Amino acid sequence: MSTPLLDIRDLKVYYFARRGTVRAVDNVSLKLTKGESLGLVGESGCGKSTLGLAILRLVPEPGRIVAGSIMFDGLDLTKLPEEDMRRIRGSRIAMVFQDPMTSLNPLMKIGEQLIETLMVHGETDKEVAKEKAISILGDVGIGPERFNDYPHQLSGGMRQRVMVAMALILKPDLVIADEPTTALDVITQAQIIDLMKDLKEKYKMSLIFISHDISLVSEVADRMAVMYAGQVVEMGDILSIFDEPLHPYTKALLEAIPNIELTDQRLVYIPGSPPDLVSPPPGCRFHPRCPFATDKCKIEEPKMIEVKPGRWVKCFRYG
Amino acid sequence: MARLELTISRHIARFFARRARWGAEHYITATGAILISIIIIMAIFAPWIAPYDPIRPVGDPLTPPCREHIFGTDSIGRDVFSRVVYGSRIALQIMILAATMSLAVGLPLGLISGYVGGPLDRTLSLIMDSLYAFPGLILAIAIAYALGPGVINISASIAVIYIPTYFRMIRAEVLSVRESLYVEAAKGLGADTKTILFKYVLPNVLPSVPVVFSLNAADAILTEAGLSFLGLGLPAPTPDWGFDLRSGYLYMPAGYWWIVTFPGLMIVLSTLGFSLLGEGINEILNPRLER
Repeated sequence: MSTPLLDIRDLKVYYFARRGTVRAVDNVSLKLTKGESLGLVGESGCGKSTLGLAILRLVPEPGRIVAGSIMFDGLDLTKLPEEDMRRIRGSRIAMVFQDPMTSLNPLMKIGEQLIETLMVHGETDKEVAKEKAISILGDVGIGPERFNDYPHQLSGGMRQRVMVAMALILKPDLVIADEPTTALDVITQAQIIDLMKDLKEKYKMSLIFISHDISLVSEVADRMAVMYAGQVVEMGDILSIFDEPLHPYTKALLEAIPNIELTDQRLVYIPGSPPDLVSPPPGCRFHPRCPFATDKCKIEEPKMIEVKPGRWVKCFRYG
Repeated sequence: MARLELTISRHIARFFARRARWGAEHYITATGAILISIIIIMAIFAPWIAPYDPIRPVGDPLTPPCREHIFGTDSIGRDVFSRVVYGSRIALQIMILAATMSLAVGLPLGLISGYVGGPLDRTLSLIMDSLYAFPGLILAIAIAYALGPGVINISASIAVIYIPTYFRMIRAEVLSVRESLYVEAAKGLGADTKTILFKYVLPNVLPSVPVVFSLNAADAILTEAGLSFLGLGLPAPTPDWGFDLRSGYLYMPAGYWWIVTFPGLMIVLSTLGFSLLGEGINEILNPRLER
């Protein structure tokens, strides 16, 4: 296998809040090859978004990358000077944010915003920029007549298309999509997902798709990493995780997907809530909610082990 | 005949219906705008409006309002109406200069302070807060005294009072815009600080400027009149409402009411005009204030 495009090792991102240190990302290691798409799944507050922001080095105050490395195409992003990092953002790694309603500048026409993105990355010819902007808008299914529209003149789905266009206009190697469809209705959601899949193929880029919706992730991703309380607890390709989830948390997540055929069934949920990341439980972080928890789980932290090639799990039940 | 009445009454009804859609805030704004327009017209066309030279005696001293001197004459026989008309020039000049100066200093400082944050922000906020804590007129008196007379100096001393107002408002706006998702998204796409500051933050904080600007203008006129009244304004023969107020009030007890009344009225009307305009714009722009 070739060298991965993205190689995150033992990454720790902590928020130094007044009430204590929030260990939002704690010892996360991930690999992503070129052209691959990885789904990042987990409940709210388990560190998915922080991980996404950390790759772009945009973790908001008082958060900081404490330890670990993020190797991107041979560069350690954690050590790069800010100006170099800025050049990477947008041109080589781009992000699509959760809320399309507020992620566009309300006072700038969408065409201008696209051109602006090109200009800050060194494009000097405004006509060329405009052509590129119109062509990428075409790619996301927005006609040139919308070029001079302001964000408030577009629907939520269209705004998210514009956001996707802005992320793709410089043909980045990696796109991080942080819950890009959460704020949209189901039909628009499906359209955006299809669009992202198509464009990913067209531009041969890698994708990190962050979502709490495990079934949505399965639509887009080749591989999946399940996060719980700031840690990756299971990793593997989509099919094998769906066929045979190993970690009790993954099992619970899969059971919680509502099934359209079993109409009488009550919704299954995971009792309890994710731990406070200021003082996560000792041992395995999932043990207070785990039906299989033993005394060992309460004291010792399991290691991430490779059960089968490419299939990782962080649980004592597998060794 | 009945047809005509019907048409007329329909027109009247439509007229009132249209007016009913106009909320109080529109009336406030319109009144303010009209008052200010009158003063601006007065200032621009002063030589045509004023019947006499404002700095030379043109009649008998202390003539009450009459046909030749509709606002009367002052203690040395100058035409009060002409002085009032020319006085609007000084008032507007100083108002515009003062408001522009405070905006020119307060806005960039607020922008940088709010966006950069950290020790710079804390230092600037501290300075601005201590400036803000001074009673405005006292501060203006001190600075005007130190700088000496002159249009620029007076404007500067008035401007200092309002710098903190702009600073605080802009800084607060920047703090909220800075955290907004579109700024975050712009950063995520590699926008540099300059772009974010001038294309994302600045345009989104500008809408709150006109309101403060017009309220600031109202106060600037008042403060300028105050300074002139205290003798810290422009040198003697210049027609100035505050100065005329001062030279006229000595004659008040003797019954020469017109020397103070008309300049005083102008100060009131111009201040009122700018206050109403500012208040009106504020209510129109800020839907949260609506009942």
